[in-house]
Amino acid sequence: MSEPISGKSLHGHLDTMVLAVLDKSEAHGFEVWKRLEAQAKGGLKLKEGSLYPALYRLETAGLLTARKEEDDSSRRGPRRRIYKITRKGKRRLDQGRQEWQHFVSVVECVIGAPA
Amino acid sequence: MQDLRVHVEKAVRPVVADQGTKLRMREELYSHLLEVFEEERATGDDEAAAILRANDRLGDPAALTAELQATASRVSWYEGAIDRIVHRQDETEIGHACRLASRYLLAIVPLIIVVVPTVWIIQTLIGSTQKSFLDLVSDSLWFGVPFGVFATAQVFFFTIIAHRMLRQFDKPSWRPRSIGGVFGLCAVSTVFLLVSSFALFSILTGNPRATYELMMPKWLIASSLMPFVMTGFVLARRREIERLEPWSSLEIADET
Repeated sequence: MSEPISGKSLHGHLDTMVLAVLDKSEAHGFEVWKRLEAQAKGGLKLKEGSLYPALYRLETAGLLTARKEEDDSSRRGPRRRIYKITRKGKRRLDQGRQEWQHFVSVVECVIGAPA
Repeated sequence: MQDLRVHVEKAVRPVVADQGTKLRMREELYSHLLEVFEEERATGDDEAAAILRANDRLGDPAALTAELQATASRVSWYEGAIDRIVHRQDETEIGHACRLASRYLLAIVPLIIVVVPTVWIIQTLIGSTQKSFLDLVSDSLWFGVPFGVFATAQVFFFTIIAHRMLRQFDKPSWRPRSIGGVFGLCAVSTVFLLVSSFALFSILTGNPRATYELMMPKWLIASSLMPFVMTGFVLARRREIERLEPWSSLEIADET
């Protein structure tokens, strides 16, 4: 199997990936991470702390909204923030998906072409 | 769990941003780290090994600091930078009051520098003034300096009062230790607000008697709200103080 994709190669794509996993339903940071991991099937090699700057960027840009979760006495630690994709975020995700498809098809034409 | 907190604090404390933003970062990263820790524990690791694994999964604090810093808005950065310039570890009440007052002053000075030329340019363009730029600066200083001193003094004074007020409540129940003490501080705030407002407007109008007759009834009504404002302040700050406490007491060797 190929090496997992690391932080540098992910540069510029992490934000769209976060939007993609939040497109299904809202989630807190740890859940977002679990979804990324599950969907990438172990193919990501990223420090988990890097997820939060991405979430803050997206929130500042109005692509996500956040609210505090309800009090949950069954778990330790501070209340988590639940992130939800906005309409603007959904539009950005659609755009990101199209750009990605275009990128893949162009690179495929060059790299994937028989020698 | 102190080791997990320390790891988070190493990443967040060097970030130049306002306290609210940093508190949000701390709590969110710590919350994540706790979940990772539980996950590592479930795989059979002992506590020390689970902490190491969890910290490693979160990433190098210095790299995380840079990433978090990039997300701070300019306003947040500016507030954090001023905080950093004037903040001292274990600062006293007076020190804290000075910090907030100077932060306020530093925040309004650039505003005046931008507003004065903008007003002059607009007035000149629409032809509503024949005043020179220097006249406008002089007018602005005439109003701006007393107002700046007044507002800065208010920030200083009410920070001291707020500290005293917070001490009037027992933690964690937040029951007042002395009702008399709470009312006494509210009364001092009311008198200070009345006297300082009267002094400011007397200077600005040059007519203390007219100021008194025109404005005193309104000020009395406004000042009577002070006890509610002060009590509201304590209640509003209560949560934040409780949330900040575990972080501010941490000893971080690598602080920059």
